[in-house]
Amino acid sequence: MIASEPHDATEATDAPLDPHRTAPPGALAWLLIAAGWAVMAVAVFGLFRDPELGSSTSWVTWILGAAILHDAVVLPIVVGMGWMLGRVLPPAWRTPVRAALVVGAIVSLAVFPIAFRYGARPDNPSILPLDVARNLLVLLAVLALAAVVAGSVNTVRARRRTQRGVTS
Amino acid sequence: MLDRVESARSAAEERQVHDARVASILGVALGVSFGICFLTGVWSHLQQNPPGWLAGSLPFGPTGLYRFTQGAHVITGLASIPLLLAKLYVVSPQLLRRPSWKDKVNLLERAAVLPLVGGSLFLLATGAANIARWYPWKFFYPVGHWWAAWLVLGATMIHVALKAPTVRRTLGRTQVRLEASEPGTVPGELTRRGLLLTVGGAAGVLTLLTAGQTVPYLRQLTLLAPRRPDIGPQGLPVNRSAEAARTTDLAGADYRLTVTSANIEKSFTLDDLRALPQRTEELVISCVEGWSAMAVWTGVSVADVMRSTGLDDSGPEDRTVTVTSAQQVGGYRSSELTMDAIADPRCLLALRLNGEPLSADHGAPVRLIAPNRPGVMQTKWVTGLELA
Repeated sequence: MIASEPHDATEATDAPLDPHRTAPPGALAWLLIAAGWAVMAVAVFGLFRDPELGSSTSWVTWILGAAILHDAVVLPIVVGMGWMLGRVLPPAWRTPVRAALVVGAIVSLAVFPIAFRYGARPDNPSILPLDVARNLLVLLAVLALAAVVAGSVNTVRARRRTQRGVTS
Repeated sequence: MLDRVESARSAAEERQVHDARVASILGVALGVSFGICFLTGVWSHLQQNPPGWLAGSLPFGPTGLYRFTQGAHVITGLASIPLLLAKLYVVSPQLLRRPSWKDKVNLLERAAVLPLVGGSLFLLATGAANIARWYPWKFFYPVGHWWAAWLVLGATMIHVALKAPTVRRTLGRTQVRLEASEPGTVPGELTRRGLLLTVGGAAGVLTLLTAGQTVPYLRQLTLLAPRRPDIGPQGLPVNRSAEAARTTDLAGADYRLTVTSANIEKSFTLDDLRALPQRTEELVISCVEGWSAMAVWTGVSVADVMRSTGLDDSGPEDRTVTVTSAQQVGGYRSSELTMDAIADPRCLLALRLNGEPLSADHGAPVRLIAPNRPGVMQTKWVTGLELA
């Protein structure tokens, strides 16, 4: 069945297949790549020529800083936490705890400027009027509860499965 | 040491959560969400800064169009946060892959990945801070966000050109070949499906608990949003207060609205405006920050005011009316109305909001309110109309 599949020559020579390999671009792809570099050049040129920008150094710092902060700080923490949870938790608990932590962390990251009300102004109470910090804590508690329920259900199920395995 | 990193890296690459199929699925999802953000962002930019060659020829569109496009921009941007973070996690083993100087394609790919990753994180981070009215940087937010969007567009074009074959291979018909060599799952390890459900869950929670700031059906769930459409003076949110604009005393006996064109200059007192035919319209105010709120506005149509001066509004189609504000401080002190916008009788100089006189924070004594328009262009504390 696999042999009957139509596939191009480059793929056929490439066994075993590396799923992450990037194929050499074709003519159309080269055109798109050239256009992409041109658009990036226009963006940088437009930015530095924009009289309203303010500090271009700040802009560059934030772009590079975002990539560095993610790759050097956020990613190691996430990978480290995942590894640690894999060691500490029994298998039945791993997915519920990881899923709850991921959802809670991402939602918190997205709304922390709202929760901490950095942009609040005394002259305008219609800005950031909700108690988002409290609501976020409630959400995190609900996620924790969901993880506990899912983990317990998984544990009971796993135990029954092994018991059945033993008796049959 | 390097060998140990490489063996850990290639082991990680074998796990389902780091495989090319999940990367492809998230990549396609991000392509769609960033595409929506880019198009709605360009649309919003053109509304606020129409280039000369487009002035007067932008389609006017239905009443709630801007509410829809800008609501979609912010909702999609927030939902992109889990998608982007998950995508970066999925492909993270590729970050530690030792670069080969012989593999030119790989070097080219890596060169474009820095602006792609940095720019994408920048867009989502600055956007999320902006809706919270937090500006911890030293550039003007709309300008920085705008050019970063073009940077990411360019980097995405390169990324798509190089990765389209991978997406086709992993999501297309030939995926059977990958399935055959699929690694077994360690007990309790997050599966491909588990990862995607978690990411979808995060995006879903974020959307459900914030979108109520513009989607009326979700109002009851507005728990994490920066605004609620019914909270503010006269039951409506405010972006810039009268105190901030230094216009608290504008609504006095000496208030005048001045209408000018090439051949005419005429002043209106508040009583003059009240003597003109009054219209009451239900119109939405849609902020660039993604919230929107419906309200009932009463006032005179801009067209009636212009006509009552007897000025000649014939002439080329691309003429505009500049609406100026008494606002002393801050940006957006004036806005432009096209002839198309004025032709709509619902393009109002409002004197009343929800049955009461306008409060100072809503632009007393006179503000502009018109269909399909960014909130920053619904100029408040109006003191001048100029036909040019």
